[in-house]
Amino acid sequence: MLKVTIGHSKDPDSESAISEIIEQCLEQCDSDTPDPIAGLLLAAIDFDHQLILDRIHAKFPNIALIGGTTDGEMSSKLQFSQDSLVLTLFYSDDIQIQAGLGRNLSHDPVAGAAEAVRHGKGQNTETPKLCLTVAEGIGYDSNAVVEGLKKVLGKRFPIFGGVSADQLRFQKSFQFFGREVLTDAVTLFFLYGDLQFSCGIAHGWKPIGKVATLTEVASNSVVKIDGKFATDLYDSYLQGLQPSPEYPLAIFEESGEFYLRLPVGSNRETGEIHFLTNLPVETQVQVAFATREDVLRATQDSFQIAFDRYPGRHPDVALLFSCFIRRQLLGTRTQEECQWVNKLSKQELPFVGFYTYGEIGPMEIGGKVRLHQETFITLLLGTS
Amino acid sequence: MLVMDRTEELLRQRIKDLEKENRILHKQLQRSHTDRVQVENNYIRDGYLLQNIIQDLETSKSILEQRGIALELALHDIQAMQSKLIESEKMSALGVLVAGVAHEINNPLGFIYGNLGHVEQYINKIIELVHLYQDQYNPPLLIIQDKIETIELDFLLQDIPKVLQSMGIGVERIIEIVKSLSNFSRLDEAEYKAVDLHEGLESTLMILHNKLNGDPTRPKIEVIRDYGMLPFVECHAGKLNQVFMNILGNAIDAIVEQYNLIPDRPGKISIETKSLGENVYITISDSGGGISEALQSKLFDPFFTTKPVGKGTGLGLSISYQIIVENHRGKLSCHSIIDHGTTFTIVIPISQADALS
Repeated sequence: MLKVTIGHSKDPDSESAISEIIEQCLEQCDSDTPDPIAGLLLAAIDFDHQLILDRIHAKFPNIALIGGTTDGEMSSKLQFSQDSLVLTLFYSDDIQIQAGLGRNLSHDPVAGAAEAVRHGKGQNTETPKLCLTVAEGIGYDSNAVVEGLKKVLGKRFPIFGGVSADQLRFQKSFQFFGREVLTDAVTLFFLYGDLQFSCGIAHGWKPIGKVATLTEVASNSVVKIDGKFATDLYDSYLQGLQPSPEYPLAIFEESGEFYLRLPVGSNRETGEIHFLTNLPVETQVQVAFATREDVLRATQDSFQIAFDRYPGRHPDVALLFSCFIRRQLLGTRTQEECQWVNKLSKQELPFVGFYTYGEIGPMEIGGKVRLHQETFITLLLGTS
Repeated sequence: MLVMDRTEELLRQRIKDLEKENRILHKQLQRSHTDRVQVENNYIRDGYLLQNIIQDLETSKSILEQRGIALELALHDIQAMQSKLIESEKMSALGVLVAGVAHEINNPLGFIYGNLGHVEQYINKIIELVHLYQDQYNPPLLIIQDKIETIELDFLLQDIPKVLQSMGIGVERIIEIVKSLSNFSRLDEAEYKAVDLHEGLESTLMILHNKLNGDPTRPKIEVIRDYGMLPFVECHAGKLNQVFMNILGNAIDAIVEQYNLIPDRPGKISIETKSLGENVYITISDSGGGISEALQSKLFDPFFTTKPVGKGTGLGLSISYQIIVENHRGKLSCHSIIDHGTTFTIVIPISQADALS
């Protein structure tokens, strides 16, 4: 059995919001409901996060809790919402959830990831079934923390999650662990037990325009493309406007497949474009473009793939990780993303998710895990 | 008191709810402004992006069009090269065959032609001897008499000289054909050489003799020669014969086709030659059904043919055009009127050196 209760409030007042949320969670429990074993907290950047964590701890002192700040929240309670607060509590007799924390990612993301894995596993010698993670998304190569997790857990170990966000300020996001509000950290859950799960990933962007080569990169910036200022590539299409995340770079791999990396700023003087991750030099790139219809079609694909692949009878919960740019591009149609859960699920399925600065997951269970951008990841979890 | 407390509590709750709604609305208002700015910026970016992508596509289209033209030219060149190769291979093989056959026939023909006189002489002597026997042993024995009647000796003695004379004519005809074949193939003449073009025309007509002669299904095609005084012309004689063969062959086909449609119309090919200034003109006209204007423009294209599949390669006139225009710096033109026939005019410089200068 895996049960979740979800509390979701749009109230910007932290005290009021957390009270409402706890009340909502309790309302969903009956006399047979065991105590919650874990909690996932997703919050907009402007809340008083410490107050919220204290209130949760006061009510549920024994739960393992992780989470982070987001660029939009979604749940089966309120559907899509911005500037809101969502708490998901997990209840189970046969699933075990352990939390781990790694710090100082900007100093050494790989070591931070290893620390989180050690911490999460603790004395447990069993192999976990799944890892759920929320990591810092700003100020370092966020791809490196995913690579760090893979290094310890194995390339094909199922890791899902997203990197925390700060509502497009690109200054600092927060992660939550127990009662701690952190920054520059990675938090994770290891799930043990008889767990069934499946995933689906899709984005909807298509490369357009001329193919170019990344000829010089430095840290999270691309300095030169085809030997010229990196900004020149975007200037030729956007006529001098700042490169924007809606028009990511499609990075081509040797296989001919591509993944997306979104620009978050640029420097006119040096011609550099800034990203949230490092980019590989000497790879071919193309500016990519998507319409709202493309994006929503991909969301549907993501759900459809996950439901088609689910190995059990019925999932108990859907966890959703969507890129912040999808929200930005979809505008008033953002709520259509999470509505696909109800359309495709044969039962009323609780779901919770958030808009991230980077989505983490494999293309399929057993596949290579990667930090994605511009994607929508559906993770279905259950015990039957 | 209790009612007042209850009302007060409800009011407090209402105020609390309103305060919450107010907070949410205020936040949403802040957010909607940011979102609106974002949407506006995206709208501008989308416009620029699409405008530039369209420009890129137009450039790509133009490049593709240029490449298309270049590819068409390359295809045309390849087709021309291919047709040249096919035809030259074919003609080379035909030339070798013709020359070989002519050579092989020449020797036994020599025996026959050389001995035909002796045979005539011997036969005459045998006939004299038979007449002498008839004079000296008259009447002959019964058995001899029977034999003379059975073999119709009188008829034999009268017919033998005619048979020999006919054989002589036949052999002389074979000698002429072999000579024409050798002349037509002209394997030994790879270089430009001054030749009599009438000889080439006659050789070609000789080869086409059978086709011109007609058969039980159609009458003979009349060939009208209007040959002028031609100087020797510097040319690849073998190649020019190939041109004559192609044009005359097409003319015969056109006449036969027309005969099948209008049997009353006489089949006629006119060949006119003349020398004018630095050039010679050879005009070959037929009384066939003619070629439409639309088809005339494609006549010299490689692989263009109006004949049924398997009857023509569509290379004959294309090759002829190359031989006349490219190899001899001449001109080949066609004038045709539907139902009246077609005229091909070949213009060749008398001297290739002059043409080059």
